[in-house]
Amino acid sequence: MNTNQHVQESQRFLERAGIFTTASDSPARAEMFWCAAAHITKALAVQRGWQNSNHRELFGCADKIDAEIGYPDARAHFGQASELHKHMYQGHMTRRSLSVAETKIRHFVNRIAAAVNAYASDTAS
Amino acid sequence: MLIKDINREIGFASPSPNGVAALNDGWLGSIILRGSPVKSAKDAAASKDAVPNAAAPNSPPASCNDYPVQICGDFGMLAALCLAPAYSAFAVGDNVGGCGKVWAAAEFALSLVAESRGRPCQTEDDHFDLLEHLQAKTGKYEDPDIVAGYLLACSYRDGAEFGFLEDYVIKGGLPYVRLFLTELLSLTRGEA
Repeated sequence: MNTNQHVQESQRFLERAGIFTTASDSPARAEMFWCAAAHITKALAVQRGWQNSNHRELFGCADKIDAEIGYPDARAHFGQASELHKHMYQGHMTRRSLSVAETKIRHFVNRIAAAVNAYASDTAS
Repeated sequence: MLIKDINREIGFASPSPNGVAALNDGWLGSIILRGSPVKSAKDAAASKDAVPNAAAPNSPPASCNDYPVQICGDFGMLAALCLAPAYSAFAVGDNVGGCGKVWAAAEFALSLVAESRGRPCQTEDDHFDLLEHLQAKTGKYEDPDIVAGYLLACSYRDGAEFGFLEDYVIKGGLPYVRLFLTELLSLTRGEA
């Protein structure tokens, strides 16, 4: 996938999260948020030439985001996505934790998508 | 007085949202009680209660219960001190124990700030309410985002309970937990 495809996949998974509710299927909903965060991280990684083929490398990308685009909370927000991924397996998060984490991940996705688009515009002009 | 004595005196066993308190092993008692006389590292080292390396801030005691009682006016330093036993546990491969101690540090910091502001701190909802109150009060929602920092700390709590945190996740998250603790403790009423 290229950068644009990863951005689109990220948005698609955010939309798909809306299919599920925390009450009806919180693990499935949580996994959609993880997918959205992972894809937007991969979008940035592909654009900047970072390795991004497994979880370890994705975390490595998350560690670089602040230096790259000036987003100090990026690693903490990406960590919420990882927690939601684990929630898919364990079902351990409370309803409020899930809700807060989802808010953080939406912010994460939007902020990185904006950085990806701005970089693409700059390099195109 | 040693920490184990404080633990016994205060009967520390704070309820934890996920029942992880047992993992604390009374470690929260290694915290330093506010309002007591300040004791310098030199004095602590000279004290009959002091452990051999208590004067060296970068050399944590073998057991957290061996910390001498002292007061840290610098709460960032206090947060770092609280994390020292966690780093020691991670260094010997005890990820579950280390995660429990990271969470203990966070739980203590939360209780300290909540107490200073007269707010409850027993449940996860109390924690969220406190953090959101602090954000609204300070108008500071990012850099660092203390709610995200709290959730990151919670991942260590869950790591202690389920043992599912990978080494690179543990290592990568620690600087942000430290940042969270420092920021949180700076919001203790009277400190900022």
